[in-house]
Amino acid sequence: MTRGIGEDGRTLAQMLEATRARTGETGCYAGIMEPKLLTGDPVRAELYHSRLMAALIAGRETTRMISGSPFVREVAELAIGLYTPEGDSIAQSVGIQVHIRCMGEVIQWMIEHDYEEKVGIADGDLFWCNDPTVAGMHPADVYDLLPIFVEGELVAWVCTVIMEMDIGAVSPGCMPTANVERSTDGMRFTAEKVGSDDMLRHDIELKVRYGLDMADMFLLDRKGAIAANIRVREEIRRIIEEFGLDWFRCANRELIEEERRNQIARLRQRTVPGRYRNVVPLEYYMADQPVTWLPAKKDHIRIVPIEMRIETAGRVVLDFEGAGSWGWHPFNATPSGMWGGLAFTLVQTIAYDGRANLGSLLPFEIRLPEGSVLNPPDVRPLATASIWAPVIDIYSLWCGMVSGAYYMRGFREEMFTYRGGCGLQMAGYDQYGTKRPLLAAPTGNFGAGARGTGDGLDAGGTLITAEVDLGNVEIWECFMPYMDLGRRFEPWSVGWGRFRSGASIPTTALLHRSTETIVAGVVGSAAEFILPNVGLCGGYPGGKRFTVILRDTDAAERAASGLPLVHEIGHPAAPAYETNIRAEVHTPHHLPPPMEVHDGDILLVSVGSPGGFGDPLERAPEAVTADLDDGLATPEIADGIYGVHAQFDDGAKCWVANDEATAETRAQRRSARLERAEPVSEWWRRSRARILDGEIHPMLAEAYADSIESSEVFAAEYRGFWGLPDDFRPGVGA
Amino acid sequence: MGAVPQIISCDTGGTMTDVIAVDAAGRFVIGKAATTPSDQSEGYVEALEEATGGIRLDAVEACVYSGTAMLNALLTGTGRRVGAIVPRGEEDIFLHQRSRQTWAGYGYADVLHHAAHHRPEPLVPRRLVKGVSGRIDMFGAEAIPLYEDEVRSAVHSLVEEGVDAIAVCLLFSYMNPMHEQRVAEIAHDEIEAAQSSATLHLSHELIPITREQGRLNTLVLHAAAAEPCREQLARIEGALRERGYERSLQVVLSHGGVADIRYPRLHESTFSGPIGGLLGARYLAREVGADNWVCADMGGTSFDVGLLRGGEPILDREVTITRRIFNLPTLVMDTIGAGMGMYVTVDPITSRITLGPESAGADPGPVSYGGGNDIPTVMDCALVCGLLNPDNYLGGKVRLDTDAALDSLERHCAKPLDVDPHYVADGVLALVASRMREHIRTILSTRGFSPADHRLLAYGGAGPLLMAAYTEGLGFQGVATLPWAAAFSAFGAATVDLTHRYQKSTGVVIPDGAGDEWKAGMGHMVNAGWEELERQARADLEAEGLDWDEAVVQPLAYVRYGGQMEDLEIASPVPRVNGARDMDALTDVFEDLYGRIYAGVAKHPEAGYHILELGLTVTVAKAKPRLTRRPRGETAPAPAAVKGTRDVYHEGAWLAATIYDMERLAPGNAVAAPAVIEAATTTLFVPPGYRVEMDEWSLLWLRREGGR
Repeated sequence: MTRGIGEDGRTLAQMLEATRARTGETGCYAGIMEPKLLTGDPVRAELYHSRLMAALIAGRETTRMISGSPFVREVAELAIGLYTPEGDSIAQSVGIQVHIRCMGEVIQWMIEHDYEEKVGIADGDLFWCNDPTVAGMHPADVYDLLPIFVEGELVAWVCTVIMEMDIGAVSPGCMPTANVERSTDGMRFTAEKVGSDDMLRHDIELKVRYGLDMADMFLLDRKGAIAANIRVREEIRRIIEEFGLDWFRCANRELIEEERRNQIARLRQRTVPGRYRNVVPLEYYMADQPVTWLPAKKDHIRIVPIEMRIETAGRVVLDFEGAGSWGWHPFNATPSGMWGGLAFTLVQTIAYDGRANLGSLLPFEIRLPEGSVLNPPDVRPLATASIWAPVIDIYSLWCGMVSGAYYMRGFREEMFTYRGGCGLQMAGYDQYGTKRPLLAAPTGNFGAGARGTGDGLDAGGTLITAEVDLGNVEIWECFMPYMDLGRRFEPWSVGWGRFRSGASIPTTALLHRSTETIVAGVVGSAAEFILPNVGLCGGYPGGKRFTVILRDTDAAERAASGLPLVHEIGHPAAPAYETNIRAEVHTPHHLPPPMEVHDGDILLVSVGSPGGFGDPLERAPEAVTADLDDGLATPEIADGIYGVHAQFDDGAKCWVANDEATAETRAQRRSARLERAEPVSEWWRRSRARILDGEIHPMLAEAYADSIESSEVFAAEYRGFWGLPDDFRPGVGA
Repeated sequence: MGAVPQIISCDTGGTMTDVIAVDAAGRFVIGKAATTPSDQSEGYVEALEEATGGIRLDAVEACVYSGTAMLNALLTGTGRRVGAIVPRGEEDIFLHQRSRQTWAGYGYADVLHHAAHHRPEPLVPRRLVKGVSGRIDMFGAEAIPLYEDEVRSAVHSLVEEGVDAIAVCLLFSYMNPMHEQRVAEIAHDEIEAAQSSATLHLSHELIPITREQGRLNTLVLHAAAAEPCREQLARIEGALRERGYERSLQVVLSHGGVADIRYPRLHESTFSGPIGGLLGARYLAREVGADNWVCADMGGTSFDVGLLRGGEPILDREVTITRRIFNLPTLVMDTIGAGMGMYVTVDPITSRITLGPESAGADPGPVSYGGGNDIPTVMDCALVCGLLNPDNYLGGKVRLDTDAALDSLERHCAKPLDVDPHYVADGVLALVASRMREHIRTILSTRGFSPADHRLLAYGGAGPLLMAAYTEGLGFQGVATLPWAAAFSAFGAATVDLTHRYQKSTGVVIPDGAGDEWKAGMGHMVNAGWEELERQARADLEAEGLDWDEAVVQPLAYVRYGGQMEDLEIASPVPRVNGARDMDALTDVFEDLYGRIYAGVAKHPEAGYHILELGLTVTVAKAKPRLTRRPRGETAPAPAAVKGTRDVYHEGAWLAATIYDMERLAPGNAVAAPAVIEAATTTLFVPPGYRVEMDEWSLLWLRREGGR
C-alpha cells in the first residue's frame, strides 16, 4: 500500500476512521480523555489559540478586500475556518458560521470518495464545492478549500465560504423557488479540483465565464477566497515552526475536545434539564409554479414537531419524530443543513466566546426521520436552492425553546427568538443592460426577538449571521435596477409584550431603469398563514410577513404632480399602497410564481418580527410613549394593545401617558379576559369535537395525516391526546 | 529648555492634556494638566503654563492642536442642536443605524453574542429628522423631482423646533447635487423669513462621497460639533495671543494634515488625537532615514497600531469610531483592547484566563491604585512581577500598593487555576504581548507586508514596557522607543506640514481591451474631477492667507478592478491624464501595488479598471521641531544613571534587574539585560537575551544580544 498523505504516512481515510472510532468508543473527541496539553500550560494554550484566530481573521479581511460582491463588502456573507486533516472544525472566523460544519463534511466526503488516491490531493491544490448533495445549505454558497501541507504531510485544511449572487440557476436567480429538479439549480462544483500550485485552472475560469451572467463577480470572490486561504496557510506554517508539528496536531484535537467539555458545562450552567417541545409548520405553494416536473404542482403543508431533551449530564437530543414527508420542492432540508443550522444558532446564543468548533456540536444528537422533509431518501434528484429556508424556521423556533430553559435558570437577559428571513428575488436586465439574477441581501432589516429583560433590537437580529447589516442604499442601487423608497420601521411588524420584539424594516422598491424583469421567489421562510413567530410568557406573536406587488402604477404621474408615493406599508387596514398609488395590486403567497414587472412598478415586502415577551398590559407606559415618539407604535397600538392612554404634548413635543386612565383601562381588560376564559377541559372538549367533525382545513388534515402515516409514535401521541380511535385520520375520521 | 519655544503643540486626551514646547534647537519641555471637557482652553492653558513657565510667546512660529474636542461635543450632547433633512422614507436612519452599529467596534465574542448587541444613542432624535420626496438615481439623473412644498414644511418645522443647524443629506447627491442645492435655496428663504440663525450644511459640499450612512453621520458631526469646537479653539488661540503669539492656531486633521482653525471642514479634525504619534513617527522616519515603520501606541485601555509605508501613513475613508460609521479620511490606527488597565479574570466555565474587554480606567484604576477596584488588571500583573516601580509611578505622584495587587491576583485568578500568582501575572503579560503581537502581524499580513521590511516604534506611557515581548519573533529590522514616549502624540502634532485633502466620487470605467480613444476620454473625466478639487483647494488656501505657488499638489485616484468592492489609493504618477499612455501609467501603479499586497491568483485585469473616487492633497511647508542629534559617547552609562537593582519575575524565574534612570542615559550608552529603564511617565523592560542602545537621536533601540 502506498504511503498516505496524513500523519505518520497514514491515509486520510485511515485517520478519519480512527478518529470516528475513538470518539464513538469513548464519547470524547478522538479518544482524548483529558486535554493535557492545553490544561498543562494554559498560557501557551491561549497563545496558540489566539494565533489561530488571528490567522483566520486576517484571511477573512483579505477576502473582503478582493471580493466583487456587495454580499461580502456590505453584509459580510462569508466565513473562514480551519480543519483537521479529517475535516473536523478547529476554529472559525465570524460571518456565516452555518457552514463551519458543512465545509468539514465536504472534506470528509472527499476522503470517503477516495480523493487521496483517485483525484489526488497535493500542496497548492484548490477545490470548490457548492453541491448540497455533498454538504451545505444551497448552491449559492460556494466553498473554497485548500489543503495545508508541511513536509509532505497534510496537516490541516483551510476553507472559505462566500454566498454568490449568481450561480447560473434558473430564473429568477441564485435561489429559485420555481425549480424542483437538480438541473435547475445552476452551476455545480461537486468537490471539484479547480486548480493547482495556488492557481486556478484556465478551463475552470472559462467554464465560469461562459456559464454565468456575473462571471467577474464570481471569479473575484473566488480569487479573494483563494488568496485568503493561501494567507492562512502561510501563517499556519509559521505557527507550526514556532510551536512544533506535534503540538499543532495534538493541540488542534484537544481544542475540539476541550470545547466539547466547555459546551456541556455551559449547557449545565444555563439550562434546566427536561423535555421541551414545539412544532414548526412548513407551507409549500407549488401548484401555480411553472415547473416541468408535474408531480411537484401541488400546495401542501408539512408539520415538523421538535422535541429537545436536555439530559442532566449536559447532553442534548433534538428529536424530529413525526416530521412530515419530503416533497418535490426546493425546501427539503438535509442532515447537513440541520447540523449547519444548529451550528450558527449555537454560536450566537450559547457558544459565543470565540472557541466554537466541532466540539460545540458534539454534545448534541439530531434525530431526523428518514424519508422526512428534513432527511429525504436521496437528495440527488432534488432541487436544493432553499435548504436553509426550513432550517431557519426550525431553529428560529428552537431558540424560543432554549429561551425557556434559560428563563428557568434565571438567565432572562439571554433569552432570544428570531424570525425566519425572506425577500424578493428578481431576474432581468439591469440598469447597465445585462440580463442577470437580481438579489439584494440586507441582513439587517429584521427585528430581534424580545428578551426577558428588555425589548428586542429594532432591525437588529437575524439567525443567519451575527453581523446584521442593512448596507447602504447607494451601494445596493448600483447592483439593482430599483430605487429604495424607504427604510421605515413598521410598527405593525412588532411582537407586542411587556417587552416587545424589535420592529422590522420592509422593502419598498420602485423599479427603475429596468426592462424585461421578472420578480418571483420570496426567498426564505416557509411560513405563510400559520404564524411561527410566537411570543414568550404571554407575549404576542410578531407580525405576519407578506408581499405586495404593485403593477402598472401611476407613480410617474404622481411624482410629476408632487403627489405622495408609497414609502411604507402603513396601517394594515388602510395601507399606503391603497391610498398613495393607483396600481394593479397583487398579494401573492410567499412562493409566488414568476411575474413580469416594469419600470414604475413597486415591490413591498414585510418580513414580520419575532414574538414579544410577557403580557403587553404590563409594559411600562413610558416605554409605550417612547415608542410613540419614535414611530415604533401608533396611538391605536398604545391603546388597543398596551392599554395605555397617551396624548401628544405640543409644548414638550413628546407623548405623555395618562397613568390613571391607563390603570383603569388595564384593570377592565384583565376583567374581560377572565370573563372570556374557560377551563382547559372545556377547550379540549370543544376542539376534539371539531376534529371528529372534520372541521379542519384540508391542507392541515393532509399534513397531520402525513405525519401519522410517517410515524407510529406521532400517531399514537396525536390520537392519545385527543382520545381518538386507533384508526382515526384527520379529515377522514375513523 | 532654556530658550524661547518655536513650536507649541498639544494632545488633548480624554483624561490628560499634554502640551509640548519645542525650541529652535529641538529641545522641548512637556506640560501636563487634567483635560477640561466643557472648555478645553482651561486645561490647555494650565498645561501650557507648565510647559513654558509663563514666558512670552512672541517668537513662536506655530501652535498646533490635536485632541478630542469635536468628539466630546458630539458624544456628550454639548454640541449644537441639529435637525436633518433626508429622503422621504429614510427618516429612521438615525434609529436603524444601518443595523451595523449595533455591533460595530465589538470584539469577536461580543459580535457573536446577540444579547450583547445594542445601539448607540441616535445622533439626531427622530422628531428632528424630516423626509422630503425627490430622487437622484445612481447615474446622477433626476428620477423624481424634488417636492418643494415638503422642503418648505420640513425647514419650517425644524426652525420652529429651534434647531441650531440643519444637515441635508440626499441620496446620490455626490453624483448630482441639484436637489441638495435647491433644498438649500428654499431653506435659506425659510430661515431668513423666520429670523432664525440656524446654519445649513449640505452633504455634497462637505463629503461628496458614496455610502449615505457614514456621509450623514459625518455631516451631523460637522453640524453639531464644528462650530462649538471652533469656539473652544478660538479661546485657546485667544489665550495664546494674550501671551504674544501672533499667528493663527492650527489643528491636526484626521488624515494627517494641518489646517487653520477657520478651515471650513473642521470635522476632519475629529480623530486627530490618536494619530499624533503616527505623524511624529513619520517625521522621525524622515530624519532617521527609514521608510517603513510600525507605530505602536499602548495606553491604559487600548493598543493602537498604525503603519508608515514609504514614509507615509495609510488612510481609510470609511471608519468606525465610537461605534459609529463615518465617511472621513482617517489615518489607519487599528485598535484592540490591550491596555494596562484591562481586567484579568478566569472564566468560570472554561477555566481560561480572560483579558478585558473592560478596563479599570483612571477611576477606580488598577487594584494597586487603592481606588476601590478589587479586580486585578494587567498593570497589577506588571507591578507584581516587579517591572514597575511602586514609588516612581508618574514620577512618584501615585504610590502603588503591590500587596493589594498580589492579593487580588491570588484570589481572583491563581486560586481558581490552582497555580502560583506570579505564574499568572507573568502569563498575563505574555498573553497581552501575544495579543499585541498578533494584532501587529495581522495588520501587516492583511496588507501583504512583512515585519522584516519594517522598524517598530513603541510609544504611549505603557508602550516601552512590553515592547520586547510583543515584538519577539516578528523579525523587525529594528525596535525602538524614545524617552518622551508618553508625550509622543503631542510631539507628532508639531511635526506636520499644512496639508489639506479633498475627495469626490466619479465614474471612470476602463474595460479590458479599451482603446486609446476611450482611455483618453476617461482621462478627461479624471482631469475634470482633479480640477474641481484643485479649485476648492485654492479657495481654502487663499482664505487661510497661504500662497498657492508654495503648495505641493498630489492628485490621487482610487483604482479597483471592475466590479471590486474595495480600491487602492494611487498617487498619480502624472499631474493630469492626457491620453491613453498616462492612463496606462496610472493603472500600472495600481497593478504593481495590488500584486505586492495580494497573492498572484488574486489579479483580475480581465475585468478592466474602475475609478470611483478621486482625491487631491495640497501641502504647504511650515515650521517644525528639529530633532537634536548628539554624538555617541561611552557605551557604559554614567554611574548616575544607575538607580540600583530590583527583583523581577520573568518567564517563571526571579531575576535581579539593574534599574536605570532613562533621563540620564546618553547617546552611545548600552544597557545589558536584565534591566528596567525608568522615566517619570514610562518604563522600559529589557528581558534576558536583549540589550538597549541609545543612538544619536536619543532613540532607544532594543537589540537581540548577538544581533544588530
